[in-house]
Amino acid sequence: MLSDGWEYPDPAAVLALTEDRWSWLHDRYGRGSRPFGRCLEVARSGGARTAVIETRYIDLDYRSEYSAFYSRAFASTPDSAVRLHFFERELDAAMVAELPEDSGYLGYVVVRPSHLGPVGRAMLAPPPGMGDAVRTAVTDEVHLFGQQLTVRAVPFVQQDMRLGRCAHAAAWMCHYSAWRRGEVPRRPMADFNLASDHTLGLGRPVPSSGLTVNQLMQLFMAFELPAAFYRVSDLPNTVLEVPWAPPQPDPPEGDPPPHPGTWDTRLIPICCQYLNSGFPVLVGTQNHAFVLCGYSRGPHPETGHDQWIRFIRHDDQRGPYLWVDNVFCDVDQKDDPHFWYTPWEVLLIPLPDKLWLAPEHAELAGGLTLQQFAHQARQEDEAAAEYLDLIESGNLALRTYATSSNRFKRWSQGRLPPEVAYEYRLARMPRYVWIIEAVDRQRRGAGDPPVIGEAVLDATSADHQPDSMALHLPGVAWIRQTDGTVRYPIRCTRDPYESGGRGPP
Amino acid sequence: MAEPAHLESILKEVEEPVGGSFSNPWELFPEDRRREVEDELRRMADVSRRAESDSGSLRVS
Repeated sequence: MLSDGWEYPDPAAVLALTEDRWSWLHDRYGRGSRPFGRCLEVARSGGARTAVIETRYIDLDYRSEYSAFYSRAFASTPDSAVRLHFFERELDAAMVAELPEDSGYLGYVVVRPSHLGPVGRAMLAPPPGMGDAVRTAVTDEVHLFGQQLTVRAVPFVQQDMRLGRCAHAAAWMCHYSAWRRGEVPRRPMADFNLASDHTLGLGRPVPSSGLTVNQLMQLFMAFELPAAFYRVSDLPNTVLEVPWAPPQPDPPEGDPPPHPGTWDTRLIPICCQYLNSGFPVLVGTQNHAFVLCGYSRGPHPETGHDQWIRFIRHDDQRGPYLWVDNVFCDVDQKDDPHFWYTPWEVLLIPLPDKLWLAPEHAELAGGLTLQQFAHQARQEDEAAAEYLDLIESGNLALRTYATSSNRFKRWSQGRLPPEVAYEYRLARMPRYVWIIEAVDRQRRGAGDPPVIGEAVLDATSADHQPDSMALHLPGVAWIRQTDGTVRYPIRCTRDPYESGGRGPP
Repeated sequence: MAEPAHLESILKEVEEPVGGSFSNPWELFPEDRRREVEDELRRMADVSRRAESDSGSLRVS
């Protein structure tokens, strides 16, 4: 592959994707790579009928790896990558320079000239049936022969096993997402090795043997995305009884006691709070790292429990958009021998710098404050007592997510009661806010708009005293202005509305 | 000093509260409940700090 026409043809070829051509693509560019095979599977299930093979693609990420590593090795390696574009529509060669508007662009895969890790940067639209559940997708702009295309996807990359390992790949996936969200400057793949503090690990920088948790934390710090950190065996919990949360899980008996990664259900809402916010979650197991990019709520595949959460992961060694059916028995049965992800050990969530308040603190304070507020607000409008009724009936759930205040204001229009949307839009808010939504479980289950109110918290406020800037329940809202004056009671309509978090609640 | 008329806020007036008002949501909590919540938030923060101090050397590759 490396010497056999890597840059041929100039500048591109168009491939009608028949059964044989899919196999040919896999053989030529993937050479048995499972992540590459999964990329093709995703494109194929999305309805790809045409591939455009763009040769001598100067890819920022591969170029950085070439400069930092491959150019220094004895063996010759091409200095360019190949980019494969996938389209729903059948295209011929004449159409590629003037793509029709309905070409149905599904995304691309950059292929490195490497047998060990062929998948460079890949941006492929989520496969059918998974779209709603994917919550951290970002929009990528693509230029192909002077034409701009866009794809909404979760960035994926495979380690090359030389300069980068799973930790570098997982960190890159999180960082590229943040770049596309407009939060940080772009960093090429090699930087994830070069900029890590090698004194925080024992292995050699090149060839890399991975990164320690300390190195990952340092790397995210250096790249302006300081990460929130959780150890699965020591998750923050609340001993206060709160009506919206299930009881604390009891550890099963055993000697030694089973690892919390096999039973501690508190792990799930923590991941969901960040995914609701659009932030990918980097999971570290005992020897591997991958990225969660979404979840869905539905029946348990075995027990039938109707509130089971299945996550979606990007695993650089297995491919993009893979279901995690059971966090507590997380095993890949395609590997021989089977690969055990369980137990998950740590969670790292690279975040914008100014998101200081932790979600579990925001949720506890927001939920309790809404409860107290309901007692007061019902004096203005009895409908506000719905929050208390939901507690009483066991139907209250809280949905917590962070968002920029600009996005929150924009999405308030047409979603929240108009009187509340107006107040929110004119209110002074910090760059990021935590939103704690009061969700009616029954309405959620029926597929109806489920949110009856929310607390808006200042994301720069203290974990020890989270600061509510606004409270809203059916019929009534309260807002504190920055000079301390209060706008209350703001009277509003009482209808429930859709959640503003990412994906279905 | 009174604000000149042309600097009046664009915000619409809110009617006067009927059932009392409050400036800080923490004031909603009775004193003992507020202390309980604050203690709990402090304890949760301590758990997070402890977890951070004991996980740095795990290597993933």
